Amino acid sequence: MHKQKSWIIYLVLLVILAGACGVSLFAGAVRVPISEMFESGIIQLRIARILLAIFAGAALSVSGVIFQALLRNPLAEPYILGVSSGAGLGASIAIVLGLGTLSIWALPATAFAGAMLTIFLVYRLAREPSGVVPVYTLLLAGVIVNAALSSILMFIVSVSSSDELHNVVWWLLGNLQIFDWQLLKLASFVVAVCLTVVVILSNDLNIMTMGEEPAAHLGLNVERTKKLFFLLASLMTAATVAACGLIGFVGLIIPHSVRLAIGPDHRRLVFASALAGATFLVLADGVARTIIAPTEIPIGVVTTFIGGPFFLFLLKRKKRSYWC
Amino acid sequence: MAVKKQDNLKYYMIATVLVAVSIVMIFSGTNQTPPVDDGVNNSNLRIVSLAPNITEMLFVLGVQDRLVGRTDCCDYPPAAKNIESVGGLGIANIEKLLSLKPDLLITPNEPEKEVYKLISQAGIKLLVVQAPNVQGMLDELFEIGQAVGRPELAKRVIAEMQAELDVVARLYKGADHDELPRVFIEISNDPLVTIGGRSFINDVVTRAGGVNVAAGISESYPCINPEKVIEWDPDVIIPCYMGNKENIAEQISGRIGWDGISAIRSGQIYSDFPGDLIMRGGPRLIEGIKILAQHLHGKSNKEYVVR
Repeated sequence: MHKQKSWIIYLVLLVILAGACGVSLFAGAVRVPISEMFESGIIQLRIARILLAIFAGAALSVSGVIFQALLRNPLAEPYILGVSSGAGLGASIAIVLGLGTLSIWALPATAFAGAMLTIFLVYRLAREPSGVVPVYTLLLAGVIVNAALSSILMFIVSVSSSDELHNVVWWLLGNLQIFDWQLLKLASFVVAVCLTVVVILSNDLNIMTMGEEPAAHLGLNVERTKKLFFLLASLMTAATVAACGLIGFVGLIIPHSVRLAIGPDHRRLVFASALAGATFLVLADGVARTIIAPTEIPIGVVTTFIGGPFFLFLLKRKKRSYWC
Repeated sequence: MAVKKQDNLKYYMIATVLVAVSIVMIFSGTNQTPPVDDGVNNSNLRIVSLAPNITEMLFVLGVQDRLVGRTDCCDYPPAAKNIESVGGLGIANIEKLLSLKPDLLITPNEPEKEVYKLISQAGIKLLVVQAPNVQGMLDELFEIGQAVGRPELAKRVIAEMQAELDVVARLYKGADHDELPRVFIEISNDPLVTIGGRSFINDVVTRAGGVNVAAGISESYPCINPEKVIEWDPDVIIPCYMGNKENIAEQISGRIGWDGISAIRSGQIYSDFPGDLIMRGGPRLIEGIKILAQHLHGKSNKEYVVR
């Protein structure tokens, strides 16, 4: 029964995702006649962009699911432990030092390095000598490190010249422009591997949400599980941030919306969130690049603009507590 | 007595040498900044500039020694860095500004009401200059020249610049609009940002005999969809950012779907272009226009001067 229902949910979500991709493929700054569709470089660009949106949306949503489960906090999202400011700091230092133009890899590499260093720092700060990492310490350490790094980022923004500042701000707002197949391949490889592992181990997330003590009683190696999921979520988020900057709200509202629709069972929630997140980002990017085409608006603006009111609507509508 | 006379002679000689040296020093000093007295005694004028292009204009007008304050962004000419800074572009520290006791404040933006009040109470004359294009920059130069008491010099400099622009315009005289090279200017590569029709850089491209492919966009610095560039199909791509541009041509050529663009097929990525010349609405625009026009119309400097 459960298995059957899951497949129906996945099928419906896949059809919606396919529809979104179809719409997105034909929407854009330039009108392309169907006859020229497959010869034109424009379609290659759009396909690359849609693929990036799918992987980024899936990665951010599933990271959100993981962080909400591990930290047992409904406000948790992929950027809560400072990945965003770490990546932002890395990228802005690269931009201010003029490295951004050196290679197509410069910004993604520095952003990824910044994100992973931050996560490592937060994890080390929260870890007790016994090797235990209490989630509240982790959360606090993450929020404080996030704030501290943001202030350094703001300092860099305030002392940089106007054209550098422009680039930093644009980068921070998030953008799904992709120019290089290699970058797309690498980012999607990281996300795909992490996603597969999370889907396979998704039942452990169910056990984790019961609380760490019950989970330990059920025979789960709590610290190891925490560490693994923490690493998977961070890797996915860092890869996404490196490829397309900061895209807010996806990791917060998609897990909540999906949980509201199909319940809190992580065995379904993980994959369903990945599909829903992918759809949301494909559509949001479609809006971002067509609404005032050929000018683009930052995708973070679209996700937050749609996501904010939508989240409030869900909160208001919520009759029973769906949060376990 | 004789000894004393000789002593006197020594003193005279030393005095003569000193006078000579100081005369030489005075003249060598004035050689750097030709003495242009326009009949207005403004040698004690204290000026604060709140934008890098304004600072450059003040240097061109030779009144840099009266410039007592600048912004952090005013880094050209290099000597500007020796002048005290009053803060970043658009975020001047008002206390610092007032402490410099300027007589004249030249700024690109109208100050806020409170700030305006403080400035006028302190008896500081305010000059707001916002050039929308190259002609506007020349007009500004004259306006500033008048305000600092050098209108004659300003006129002369402007006439020279105008003459240079006229020479440049001869390069593409008679060419049909459709024959002019279509130019894509890249301000940022990640994300892709170009210049719209209202940017003064659009005017720079036009005066250099090019057509800005993004001229139809009303924003000054729009972030644009890369697929639009494929449709525009520019003849020349000019990456205009600071930083290392070593591999930029390869990067641009390797972009997904861009291989069919004319500029890329014909290798017309002008990565050596000194973008800093045209990023500010200052006197260096003229040099930038000259270099860009020579590149677009493929004639050496000598060739077109002779014509």
